[in-house]
Amino acid sequence: MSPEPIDAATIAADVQSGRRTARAVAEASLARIATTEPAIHAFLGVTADRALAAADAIDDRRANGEPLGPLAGVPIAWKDNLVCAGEIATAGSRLLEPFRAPYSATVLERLEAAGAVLIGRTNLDEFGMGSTTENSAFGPTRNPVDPTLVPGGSSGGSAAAVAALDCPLAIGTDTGGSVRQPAAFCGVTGIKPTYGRVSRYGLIAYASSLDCVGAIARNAADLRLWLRAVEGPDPADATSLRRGEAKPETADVPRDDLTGLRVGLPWQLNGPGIDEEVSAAVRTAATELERLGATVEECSLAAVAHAVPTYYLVATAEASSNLARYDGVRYGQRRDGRRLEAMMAATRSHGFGHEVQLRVLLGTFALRAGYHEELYGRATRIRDLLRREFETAFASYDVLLSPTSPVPPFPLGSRLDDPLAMYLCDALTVPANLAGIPALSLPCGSTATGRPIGLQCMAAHGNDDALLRVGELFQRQTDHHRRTADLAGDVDGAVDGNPPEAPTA
Amino acid sequence: MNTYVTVIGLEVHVQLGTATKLFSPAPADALGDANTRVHVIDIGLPGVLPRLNETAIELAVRAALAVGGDVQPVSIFARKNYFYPDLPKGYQISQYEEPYCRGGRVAIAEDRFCQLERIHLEEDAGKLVHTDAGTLVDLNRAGIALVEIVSEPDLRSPTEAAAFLTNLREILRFAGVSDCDMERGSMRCDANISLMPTGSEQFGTKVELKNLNSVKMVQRALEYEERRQTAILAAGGNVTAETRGWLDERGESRSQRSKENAPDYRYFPDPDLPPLVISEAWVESIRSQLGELPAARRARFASSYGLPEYDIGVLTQDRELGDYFEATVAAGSDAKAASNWIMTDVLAALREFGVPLEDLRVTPARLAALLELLSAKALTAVAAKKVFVDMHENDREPRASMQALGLERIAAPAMLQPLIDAAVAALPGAAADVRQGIDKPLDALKGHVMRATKGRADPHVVEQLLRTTIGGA
Amino acid sequence: MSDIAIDRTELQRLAELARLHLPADREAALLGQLQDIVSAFAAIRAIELPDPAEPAAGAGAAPTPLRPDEPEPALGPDQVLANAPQRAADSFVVPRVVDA
Repeated sequence: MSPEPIDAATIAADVQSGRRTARAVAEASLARIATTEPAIHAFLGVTADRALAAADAIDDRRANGEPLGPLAGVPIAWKDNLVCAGEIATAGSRLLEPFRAPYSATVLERLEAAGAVLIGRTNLDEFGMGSTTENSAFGPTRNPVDPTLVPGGSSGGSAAAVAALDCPLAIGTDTGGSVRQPAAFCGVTGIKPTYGRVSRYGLIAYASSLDCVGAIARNAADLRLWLRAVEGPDPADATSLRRGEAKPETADVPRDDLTGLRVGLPWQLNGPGIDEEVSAAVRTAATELERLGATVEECSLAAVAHAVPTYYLVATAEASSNLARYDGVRYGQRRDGRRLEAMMAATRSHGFGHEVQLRVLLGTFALRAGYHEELYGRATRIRDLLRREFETAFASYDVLLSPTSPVPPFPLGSRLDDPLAMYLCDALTVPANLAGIPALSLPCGSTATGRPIGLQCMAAHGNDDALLRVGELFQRQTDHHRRTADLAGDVDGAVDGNPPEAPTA
Repeated sequence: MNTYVTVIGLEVHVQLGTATKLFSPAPADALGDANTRVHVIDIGLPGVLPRLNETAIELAVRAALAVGGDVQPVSIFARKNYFYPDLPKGYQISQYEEPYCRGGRVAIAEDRFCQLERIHLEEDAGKLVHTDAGTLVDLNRAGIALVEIVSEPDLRSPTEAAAFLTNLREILRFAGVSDCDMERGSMRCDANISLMPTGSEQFGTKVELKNLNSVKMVQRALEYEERRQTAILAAGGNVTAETRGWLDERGESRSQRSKENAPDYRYFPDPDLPPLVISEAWVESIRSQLGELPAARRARFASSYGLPEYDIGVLTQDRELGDYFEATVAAGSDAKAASNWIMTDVLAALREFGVPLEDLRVTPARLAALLELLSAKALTAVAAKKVFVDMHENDREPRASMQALGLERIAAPAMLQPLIDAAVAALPGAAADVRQGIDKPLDALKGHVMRATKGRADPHVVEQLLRTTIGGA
Repeated sequence: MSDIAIDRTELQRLAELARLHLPADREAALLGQLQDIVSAFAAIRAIELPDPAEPAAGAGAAPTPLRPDEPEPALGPDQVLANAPQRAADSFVVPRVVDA
């Protein structure tokens, strides 16, 4: 039996009113995880003691008449590339084992301050490098909608945990689509906020100029609740937006309908190379927005044609530097070598998986003397061009639409050996990271075989609230997000019946 | 005439005198036991991010202004990527294509200057200690704020290089940028040196010298390298482009790395740090607090106080000492008297008590009061020195010290006469000689009286009374 | 425009710079993948770009914030070394560095 899906806002309201205790909510969440984990493997670690202690503390506060936070009692899972004081952090890599963090990421600190109950660390592609969660050193996560499918990645564990009804909200990180694409694959809602809106302090860096902390929930309203609790300047992150840089609630978007909302469909992101069922679902969603009062028209963003190479050159260049600290000196799994260089090379070669090594080598190449200007240098200039194109487009449109992924979720093991083909699948999500703008993935239907399809909405820099408002209105008028949650509820069928087959790779 | 012209450029690292590190709030005093000055940021733990120190920028701007450099309104922090166990993140945050300061110059002779190419900010690495059991890594120093001052290849001899360093050190100390202590590593120097035939304009192949821990060492290493390269060229050979380490105890350098193995640092802008913006208003406010630099102060001390060159040299060796001198004069002292006391007793006291000048409890006002008592003959020079020490040790005014020690000068004949009589009685031979007109033994008689009064007797009155008492020719 | 290509020598240099040890079988797989990716990505070299003198988007972005120079308590050596693979004398230990 799958439980009734309850969203985060309802839990917080119930805990605040005393209709539920935080302890009961936490226990239910832990019980659900115990049921789903054998089939899904969304978690790398469940922090039951921490969760129950936090829940009891909240119940005590309420008993003492003390005020409760806006996320009181909401069980939240976090992607295991965010550090949490006293807990293990792996980033999906063997190399870090057995690292235990002495400090907490700002986003987790703020969640706990808001009353959230942190229930566990979710699976991911190693250091966020991948889009299937198959690049985790600790085995893949499966898609709760259909356990033969990948959940997407790199925040596959977080998307799967929400889709499997383990918890109503999970934290992800998005460097090139790593929140939006797994949200789309698992039929849930995910946001990558404006770059800098949520502090990166405590996020184990993949590509610093692109990394964003985001979240996955069953609806956009919960994402707003989350963003309110964690956003804002952080003196520990020099790239976090100062007050005034992020636009507050925009008056442009009316509260109850979308009359006057200008929607653009960049043809480069909606054109050839996109699965037909996916295209059709996005067109239908655009029609639904029109029905709600929006005007929809085709537009052009020329530079997105180069977004994939631009993204991979910038991201891997930064990654080659960000991952240099894993040298076996101060933490992590050291491989012995009699000589210093040999120790470092052995540590890194055994600790990093294939994809991470590939990207580190590619990034090293992009920064090499002789190639630096033509590869990394040109990529940063194309990135500037792309930013300007988005600025121009947002002068005419409030929201830009595209599919989140050009393809629906595919079977585990089917795409492991062609990294270039995988990179090209990121074409629709990486532009938002390059431009630093907010982007949301909303469920917008499914294929004939029931595979979820995600709709990507992008807004101008700092317009996260307007974007979420569009998502909330869309979800108030449609029920795609509810249908996929029902699908996922069947996951215990897989548990009760035969375990899913192992991946073929 | 020499066959070759020597061309030298220096790269000088200077530790900024901040309380915390460049990018972390850990204390920046690299002293103390291993790994006791470390923040999670300094370990390069997963997830940490740099937080730029405001005072480091202020001191870096001071350094730039002190050498007449051009502070850049926008500069960029870049990552210099290489692996070494003393480098926690696998990269050093530095500045590369866009440093915060360009240009500037340092005097190397009366009217000769060495131009600067640039000054940039960067973080220091940790410390390695090599033992038989392995190399120990201490991160206390990791992340401490440095500026690197890069000269143009304008220096033409090891002596000029030494003059450059000496003058640079004086300017930076004066500007309050750093204590520039080469032995303790707060100032470090690498040197590039090449030789070219006299009359040529084409620089020769350059060699980089490292591990130069004092001005003398810089000079010795450059002189050695000058000889080594001259010998190679004279024999028709070619100098190899390489990095050489100076072994001071052996008086020679050793090759460390050839140019073919030069690392590829893959610099790129640090995505964790937006551009550093230094507004003109900030630069001007720092400039207004910069005060006088050594050359200007030396000229003024000569014209305003008429001090001898030697005194000026001592008093302008650092800003605080000159300020102390001026405050003493402002409190009413004669300039030369103040200078004499500062050069002797004040400096001796600092050494003896092991305190910095700011902690000396003989403030300029108190020193001025002491000198006034001295000039009013209220105490003797010998007693004044004792009072000076007591003033610091017991933190009191000179008059209070003088009274507490019972060191007021004794000049009343009525008090001194019995002691004069006793001296004459004790040293009858000396008294007889004085009576014969031989003055020398007078000192012994005076000494007797002074001992009896513990130095408090007025020597002029004593002499007068002795002569009167002994009488004679 | 010169060719941008990765050969075996370049891959070995990259591995050395990145401190990776590549066994022969892995080397072959990585080389093939890198060559595919780099030759596909090299297309960006043909894109016409606006005058680089034009200020980059985000050039007016907020400057890096500055932190007051106030010390926070340092970690104790045990906290600093809590995750150390090897430690002695309150320090991290690595195989002996032989100064070149």
